[in-house]
Formats: sequence, structure tokens, C-alpha cells
Amino acid sequence: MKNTESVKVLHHHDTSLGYKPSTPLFINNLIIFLLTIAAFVFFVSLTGGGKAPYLHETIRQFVASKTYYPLLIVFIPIIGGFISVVCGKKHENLRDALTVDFTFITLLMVLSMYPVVASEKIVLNLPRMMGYGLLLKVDMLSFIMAALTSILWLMTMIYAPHYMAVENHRNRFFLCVAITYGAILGTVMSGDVFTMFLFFEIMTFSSYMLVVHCETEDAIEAGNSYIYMGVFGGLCILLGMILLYMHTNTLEFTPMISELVSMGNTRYVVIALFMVGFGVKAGMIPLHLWLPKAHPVAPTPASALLSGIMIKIGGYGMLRTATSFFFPAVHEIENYKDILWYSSKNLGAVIIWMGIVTMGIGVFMALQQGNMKKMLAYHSVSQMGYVIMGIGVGIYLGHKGAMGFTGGVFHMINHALFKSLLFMVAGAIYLQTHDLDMYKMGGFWRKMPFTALVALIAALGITGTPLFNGFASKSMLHHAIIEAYEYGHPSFWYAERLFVIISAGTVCSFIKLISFTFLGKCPEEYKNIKSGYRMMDIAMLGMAVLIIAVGLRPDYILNYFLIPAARNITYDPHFIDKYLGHMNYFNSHDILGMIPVYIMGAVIFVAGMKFHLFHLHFPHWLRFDYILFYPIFKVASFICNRLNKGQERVLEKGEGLVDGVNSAINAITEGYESQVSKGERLVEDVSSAINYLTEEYETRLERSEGLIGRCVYTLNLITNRYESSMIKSDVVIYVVILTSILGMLLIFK
Amino acid sequence: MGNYEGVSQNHQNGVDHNSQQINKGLDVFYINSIFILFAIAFITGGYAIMTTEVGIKILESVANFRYAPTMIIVLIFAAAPLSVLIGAKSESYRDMFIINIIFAVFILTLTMFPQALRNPINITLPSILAFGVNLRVDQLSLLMVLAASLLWLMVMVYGHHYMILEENSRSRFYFWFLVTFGGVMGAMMANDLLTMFLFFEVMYLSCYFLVAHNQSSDALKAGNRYIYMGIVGGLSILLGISSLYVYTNTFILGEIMAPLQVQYANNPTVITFAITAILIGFSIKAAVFPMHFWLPDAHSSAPTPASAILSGMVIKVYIFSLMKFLFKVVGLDVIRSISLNNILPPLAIVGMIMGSIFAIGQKDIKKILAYSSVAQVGYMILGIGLMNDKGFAAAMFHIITHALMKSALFLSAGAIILQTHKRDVREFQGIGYQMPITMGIFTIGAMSMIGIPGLNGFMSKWYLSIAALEAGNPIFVFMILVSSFLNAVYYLPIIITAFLKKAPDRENVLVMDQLPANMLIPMVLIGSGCILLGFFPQWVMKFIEHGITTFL
Repeated sequence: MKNTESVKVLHHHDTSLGYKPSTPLFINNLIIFLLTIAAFVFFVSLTGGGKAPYLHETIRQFVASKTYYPLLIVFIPIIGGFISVVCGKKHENLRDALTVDFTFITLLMVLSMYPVVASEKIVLNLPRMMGYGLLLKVDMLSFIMAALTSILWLMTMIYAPHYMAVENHRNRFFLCVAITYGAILGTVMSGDVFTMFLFFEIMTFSSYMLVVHCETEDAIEAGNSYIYMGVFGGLCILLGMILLYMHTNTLEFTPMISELVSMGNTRYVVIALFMVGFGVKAGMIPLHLWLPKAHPVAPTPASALLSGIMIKIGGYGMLRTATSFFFPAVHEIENYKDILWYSSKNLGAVIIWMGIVTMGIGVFMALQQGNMKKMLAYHSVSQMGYVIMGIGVGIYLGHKGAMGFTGGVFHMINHALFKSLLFMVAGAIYLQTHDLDMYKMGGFWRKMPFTALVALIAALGITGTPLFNGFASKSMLHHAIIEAYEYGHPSFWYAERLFVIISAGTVCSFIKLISFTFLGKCPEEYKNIKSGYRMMDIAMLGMAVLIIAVGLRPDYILNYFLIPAARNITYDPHFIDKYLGHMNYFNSHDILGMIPVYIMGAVIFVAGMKFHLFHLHFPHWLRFDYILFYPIFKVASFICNRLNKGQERVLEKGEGLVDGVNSAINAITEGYESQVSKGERLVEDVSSAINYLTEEYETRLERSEGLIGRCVYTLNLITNRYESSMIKSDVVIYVVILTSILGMLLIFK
Repeated sequence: MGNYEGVSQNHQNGVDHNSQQINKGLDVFYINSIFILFAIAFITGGYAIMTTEVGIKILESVANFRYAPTMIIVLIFAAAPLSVLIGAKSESYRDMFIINIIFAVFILTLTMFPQALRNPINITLPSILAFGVNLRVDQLSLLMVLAASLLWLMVMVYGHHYMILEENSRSRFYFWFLVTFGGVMGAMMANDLLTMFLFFEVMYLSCYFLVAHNQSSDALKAGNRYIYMGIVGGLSILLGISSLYVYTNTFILGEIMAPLQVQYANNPTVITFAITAILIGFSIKAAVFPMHFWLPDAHSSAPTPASAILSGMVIKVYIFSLMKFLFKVVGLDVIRSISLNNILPPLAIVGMIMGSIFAIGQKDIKKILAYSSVAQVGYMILGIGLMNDKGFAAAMFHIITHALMKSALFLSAGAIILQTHKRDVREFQGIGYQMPITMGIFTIGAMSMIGIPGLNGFMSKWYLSIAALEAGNPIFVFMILVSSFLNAVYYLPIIITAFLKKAPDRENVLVMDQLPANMLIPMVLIGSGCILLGFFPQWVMKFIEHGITTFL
């Protein structure tokens, strides 16, 4: 709550500065939005290749002839970011418009890669760069991620100007957003782990600036846990990379399990390091701690991007590394019983359970939240659990894992769409109310009807209602987990049950969100809130349209993107043809299967309301970070302190030693000096004694010779008198002589 | 903290009294510095063209000029007293003179380039010092010498303005600054143990005056610790050298190896004793872990230009000489039989970890950087201790890398101290808004220390890790990464405080740094060097890999 208050202060402070998105900006964004729709219609008609084969071929040849195309795609957003920020120093509207334009250009460039990617891979090799050499490679999976990123980015950038008016340091924000965008595009288009790691780390650091953008204490604390865990994850990836490189001498994403088998159990260490490293970003339990802290404190456009895309990059990394390093090549295996599948089976089983646990804990924590953004963040954890589970099935079933793979990737796409829309809704409400506590709200559907509508669409999407996008991917994941226990181990039956229960929890959670926020009675203090801003509405409209479009035609996504992506990986082509090629989403079994989920969700909601279960909070010491990380932190700080003290003590001792030596030397010197001085005193004594004696003798001598002396003295005295009188007379004589000579000279001239 | 107050007081008193004096000749100095910086760009760019074009005749005459090493040393040592004489007249002219001398040295270093590429330059001055002075410039020495002269040039450009902060005689500072330079250049080119020792001592004693320049009680204390440790180390080296001479009858680096191995077979105890004595001396001077405790105080209490060269290059001289000693004097067989390859890496690992842990507890920015140097010395010693070609190359690469990173960090820290008088990292709130360029350079250096890919620190970690795995020690790789994480633990809070927290006395409004261009340009150049070397490490690495073949 501290956070909200300070943001409120910023808000009042900043609106007085008078930045307001202007009408030209709105027109620009509207045009871009319409152009995007046109581009999408064009793209959809082009993807078949049947409607305009000549154009398809022209684009294919154009892109294929430009080898540097992927690098250009990475750098255009970054350069655009710098240009727009330079413009933004004077004209903030121009900056926002330029940001949207550059994102649109990048989107077009990404989409234009489709004709090439559909048939082959775009490969760009930069040898000797960074010593090892960089490799960019775009295949279908990379294309899906890049296109998804670009769409989401464009919508968020259209949404951002109104929201960012309440924040300070807008130039920095847009620059970091642009760098993050370029880095994410680079990450997904990388052809080896080394390149991926480079862009991944750039992404970590630039997105850190998005997390801490508000500069409040909460934000900095959340940012700390984000950045330290990010660095930790990065180092895990680095270690895994080095171990892998030493064994195989290559880091490229090619199937290489046949080489890794000779590593023995070290291969599990390598892959576990990759899983942990990417799992930190993906929010996998127990590495999710940063996520529920970081996403709520970031400005809403940033949370939409973080929750929408960045955590998927972690999932993408897990998928990429596991399906390449732990999979055999096509020519090495005959069927799914091959011995080479053994290691991926072990890995997959672990990952499935990690996914299930992540799902469960995410939903469970989400149910207890009152803060809207925090609840959405926990749902991100939970939904990433679905994705991780899908990835796990894809790895576990090996040759037959295409269902898990496609389900996981599809859910990444869908989650990106509805979660960023939900965050945008939360942001729109926040701009009106300056509060995120849903228990204090109610009845907003009258005030903000459009926002309520898109929120409902997103909620229907995330809960998996038929005709909305979540349904397609969730039923695929459901199929996948059923396959896991049919083809694999029977224990996954429990996983399937848990999957259903967790889906019910999600339903309950979103019934809660919608009913508390938009239904019921509007509280007194929010009587005079207005409808949202127009550009935010455009962006939310775009996302909602996408959700419905994907929900209505999931087979388009499946046939043109997901199945080609799955064919690039060592999956059984017959299996893909049989189960995925002619998949019917809207069968009665799947649709009826959703009914108990909804009923159960409603029951949990009613029970929760009745017994106040949503306000149940665990004691402090039961929290995850407390149990896991507090002891580690304590022990580490204890060790550090002790070592530091030890060091200081040693230093003091060292000083003590030097001082001791010094004082010893001093003591010796003093001793010596005192000896010397004693000696001197002795000498002095002797000499004084001698002097004394001499004086005595002399006085005695004087005394004895007193008479003679007196005679001599008087004699001297007399002589002196005589001499002085003599001198006086001499002076007279000289003066007389000199004057006489002078006189003579004057006379005889 | 006494030190910091002292400095700020000095500054307060110093500015009124000195700035006008310096301002008089400032224009001349600026023009001169800018000319030199342009000339560097021109030369480094034009050199590649020169080697390929028909400028062969010029190159021939340059290539046959074999007195460059001697000239460099004589030039520097002759310039040092002259600079004091000029400094008595005008401080600006003195700085101009010094910078021209360093620039001339840089040019002379470049003229050695074509010869050293073909085969090493050997120079013997037989009659000096009874045993003769031997200099040898091979590719690795050339690389080090080049790096040193570039670093000195940058620091000198930077120091002209910075030294206003210091009240005490600047002429004295620059005199010892030049003498140290001469010592460094000599020690890197030295080809016999006695010459090496001679330049070590010249360098060590002159550095004392840089360390204690401030004359505050802290600085004097640090200086005492520094000088006593150094003398113990120096005497230890001398003991070792002389006992080796008794048995082998030569000082020259390449030639000593064969008789030493023969003698080792006959008298293993004495030779082992001598080698141990020399190694202890080296490790005291290079601040290898248990003998490091003089370093943090010494490097942090020196004026910033001095800290930058002390941490950036002076301790590296000992490490480079340690390499020379181990591989050209002792030889791999003897190293293995007295199992040095099992002793050095654990020491290095402990140093890497402990140096970082001590840095976590520090508050003073320069002390943090100094402790970080202790940790980084561990990396280099680890590279040497692996005893394979790759480890050796990684250590060399890290020497260059660390010179860049640490000087960037020290120079930016110095700029912060100069402008804001803050040394305590907890008071750095909002400095990112007050001095964006400086803090940007600091961030680049710190990220490089942590090992973010795209910066040079990552590349040296990468090479070192691969070398460690080649030697069959995955645990070393793990420890390198743990140390990277610890680096993050103490560098990131500084950056976070500077960029994100709000200062008590000022709003977080972005303004440009209030620093003169001659402080910003060296920092920016070094910072961009970090990035360039991060993306194109082969520029240096190729050179090192080629150099190792002629070195061994």
C-alpha cells in the first residue's frame, strides 16, 4: 500500500507538469491500429500460399536473399528507441508516436519472414564475434514467439502513453522498453545457447529498469529479488553452457543426446542448470519468488509485457534447450522405444511435476490476494505452470510428445494475449481509482462498460470457456496429460485430477475478480469516475479481438504455425498427422468436460465467500521465501560478517604486530638512547668535575698570585693610560700634517 | 573517514588557491590534449593501412630502429626531473610536457610493433650494473607495454583536472608518477632477473609517494604498511635471485632454465628454497590472497589517478613477471615436481572468494574497488596456476580486461568524489541523475566485473572457465561463477542506489555531469573499450595466442 500512495503522489505532482497525449498521437495510433488489422488480414490470406502465390514467392525471395535480416529485426527497435527518446526530450507526443511506428515496422518485418520460415530456416552466422561466434537462426518456433512478442508490444505501446502520464522518467522507460524488445527478439531468434545467453542477459537488465521504474521502496525491494535471481539464473546457464561446450564442442541447438550419453550423469546436471536458469525467468516453483513481487510494482504497460512475454521467454528457453540437447536426431532413432529417449523421459517426468506444483501453488496464492495486480501475477505463475507441464509432457513422451509441445506453445500464445489484456484492465481501473484493492470496488460496469466487457472476455479466455482462446490450449494440455498416463507412467493420473481441480480454482478466482470489481454496488468514493481513455480502449479492443479470433479458429494457429514448429523437432510425423492434423476442438467430450470445472469453481467461490476463506493468510514464517531463502540469507550474512570481522581483527593484529615491532624498536632505541644519555651524563659529570677542579685550581692560583696580579694590573692600567694619551697626541700631529699638506697643495697649484 | 574529510578540506582550500593558476594555461592544455587524442585515433586507424600499403620504406627504417626500448626508459627517467623544473614555472606547461612525453613513449612503443611481430627485440647494455641490463620485447611484453602507455595517457589526461583536489605538491606527484611509469615499462621489458628486480624496486618505492601523497594520517599508515611489506617482498626476491645465481651463474631469463634444471636434480632443497623465496616476494607484491592486506588501504588512500594505475597496471606487472619467472626460469618440469600447480589455484580461488566477501562489508567506494582488485588478482593467478596454454592466455586476457574495467571504475569513482565529495556508497542516492555519464561508465565497469555478456569481463570469464575445464577441474568453474555472483552482490547495490534512490538534498532530475571534457573523454574511451573488447575479444586474444608461441 505504501507503493500505491507514493504513486498517487507522483500522479498529482506530474499531471501538473502537463503532459497529455494529444490528438495527432491518437490519430497516428489509430492509423497504425487499422494498418495492423489490414496487415493481419493480408497475412492470414497469404499464409495459405494459395491466394497469392506470386506475392508469397516474391516476399520469400526478398527475405531469403537478405542474410542480415534477423540482425536488422533485432536492431531496428533498439535504434528506434534511441531515436524516439532523443525526440522525446522536446516533444513527448512525437516520442510516443515514433515508438509505435517503429514497433509497427518491426512487426511487419517479423511477419514477412513467414514465407521463408514455412519452408526453410533463416540462418545468420557472425563468426569470431565475442570469441565464440554468434549464430542467429529463425525457424517456426522462433517465428511464433517473435510474432507474438511484436503483436503484444504494438498493443502495449498504443496503450502506454495515457498510463505513463502518471509516471516520471518516461524517456528512460521507453528506452528500456525498446532495448528489452530488441533483446527478446534476439533471444527467440538465436541459433545457439551462447547467442541466446547474450540477449537473455541484456533482457534481464533492461527489464530490471522496467520493474523498478517507480523508484519506490517496494519497487526497489522487488527489483532486488528480481535482479539477484536473474543473475543467479544467468550464471546457472553459463555454467551449463561451459560444461556442455567442453563435452560437445558446439552450442548450437541441434539434437545431441547421442553425444551426451557418454557424459554419464553429468548430462542431468547440465540440463538441470539450464532448467533452473530459464526456470527463474519462467517463474517455476520455487524460483518464482521474484514474480509476484515484481509484476505488481512495475508500471502497468511493463507488467503487461513482463507477464505477457518475458516469462514466456523462460519457458521458451526450457523448451529449446530440452528439445534440442536431450533429443536424438531423426536418423538416430527408429521408434518411441529407442534407448536414446531414456534421458528425456527422466527429465520430462520431473518437469511435469514441477509444472503441476507451480500451477497449484500459483492458483492457491492467487485466491488469497486482494490486490488485483498481485492476483494476476500469481495467476501468471499458475499459467506458466500449465505451460511448463505441457513442455514436460512434450519431453517426457519423447517421440510421441507432439501434443504436449503444441499445447505448451499454444498456451504461451493464449496466456500472452489474455494476461496482458487483464493487466491493461487493471491499469485502466487504477488510472481512475488510484487503488488496486478489489475488495473496495464494485459496480464499475456502469461507469466503465467497455473495460468491463474486455475484462469479461479475458476472464472467459483464461478460464477456458469454449469459443475463447484458453479453451483450445487447455483442452490440448488436458489431452497431453491424459496421454502422459496412457503412454507413460500411471502416476500421472493424479496429475490429471489435479489439473482439473486447478482449473476450477482459476475459474473461482476470476469469478471473484469480475464480481468484486464490476458487479455489485459502487462505493461512495468512486461515484464520479469516468470511462477509460480512448487509446487504451483501442489497445484493449485489439487484444480482445485477438482472443475471440483465436478462440473461434484455433485450427488456423495449429495448422499453420504449431504443426510446422513441431515438425522441426524430432517428433513422430505419423503421430502428428494422426492426432494433431485433424484435431476437432469443439467435440462434445471436451466441452462437457468444462461443465464440472465451472460448477466446482462456483462452489469454491460460494464456500470461500461464506467462510471468509479468501482473507485467510498464512503466518509469516510459512511463506515460501521465508522458509527457503531466509535461512540461506541469514547464514550467508552471518558468514560474511564473521569473515569481515575476522579480517578486521587480523588487520588489527597486523597493525598490532607492526605497532609492537615499532614499539619494541622504540623501546630498544630508547633504552639505547637512555644508555647513551647516561654515558653522556657520565662524561659530562667527569668533565664538569674536571672543570670544577680546574676552576678550583685557577681560583687558587689567582688567590696565590693576587699580589703579583694586582701589580701587573696597575702596570697595565698605567700603560693603557699612557698609550691612549699617546694616541690623542698622534691624532693631533696627523691632523696638523695633513692640513698643512693640503694647504701647501692649494697654495702651489 | 578521516581521509575523506581531509580530502574535502583540501579541496576547499585548494580550489581558491590553485584553480586560477591552472586556468591561465588551460586552453593550451586542452588544445594539446585534443590533438593527441585525435592523433591516437588517426594512428591506430592508419596503422592497419600502413602495414599493407607501400609505406614499406618508412616501415623498413622503423623496423630497423632497434633502440626503442632503451630510448623509452631513458626518455621517461630524463623527463621526470625536467617536469619538476617546468612545474616550478607553470603547472599547465608541466602537464603538457608530461602528456607529450607519454605520447612520445606511446609512439615509440608502436615503432617496436613490426619488429616484435617478426621476432623479439633483444637489447643488452653490458657494462651497466656489473651484470648488464638485458631488455627483450616479444609480443606479450609489447601488448603489456602498449596497454600501460595507453592507460598512463588516459590517466594523465584525466589527472590534470582531478589533481586540483589534492593540496600537496603536484609536481612531486607527477615526478613519481613518471618514475613509476618508467619502472613499469622497464620491468615489463626486462629479460634478466636482476634488471627485473631493479625496476621492481624503482617502481615500488616511487609508488610509495603516490600512495602517501595525501599525507593524511590514514595515507601515511597505508603507506607504512605498503612500504614495509614491499621491502620484505623485495628482499625475499633478492635472496632468491642471488641464491639462484650462485648455482646457475646467469641471470638471463631463457638461459637460466637449463642449468637450473640440472642443479635442481643435484640440490633440490636449495633450489626449491630459492624459488619459494622468489614466489613469496612476488605474491606479496602482487597481493595474492594471504599477503594482500596492504593493498586495499594503499590503493584507496592514493589520489584517484594513482589508484587507477596502481590497480590497473602496477600489480599486473608483478603477475606478468611471475609468468615470465615460472615459464622462462623455472620451467614446467620443476613446477610439477615441486607441485606448484597444486598450490597456486587453491590460493587463487580463496582470494577470488574472500576478496569479494571483504568487499561486501566495505562502505568506502575506493576500498570496495581495491578489495575487488584482490579478487581479480585471484583470476589471473588461477589462469597461471592451471599450467596450460589456454589458462595462460586467459590470464593475459584478464590482465588487459581488468586494466580497462578497473581504471573505468576508479576514474568514475574519482569523478564522483571530485564533484560531490561523497565516498560512502550509501550516500550515492541520485548520483545517476546528477552525473549520468560518469555513473554510466561505472555501470559498464561493474557489469563487466559481474560478467554480463557483451562486455569484456564476460569474455575473460569464458576463456578462464574453458581453460579450467581443459585442466580437468569443473570445481574451479563453479567457484568462478560463485565469485561472479558475489561481485554482483556488492556492485549492484551501488548502481541501484545511484540510479533509483532519491537523494535527501536534491530531486531526481537529469542534468549533465559538471565535469570538464578532459575528465569525461578518457572515461568514455575506456568504457567503450570495455564494450568493444566484449564483442571483439579476438582483437587481443589472437595477439596473445600468437604471442604465447614466441613467449615460451
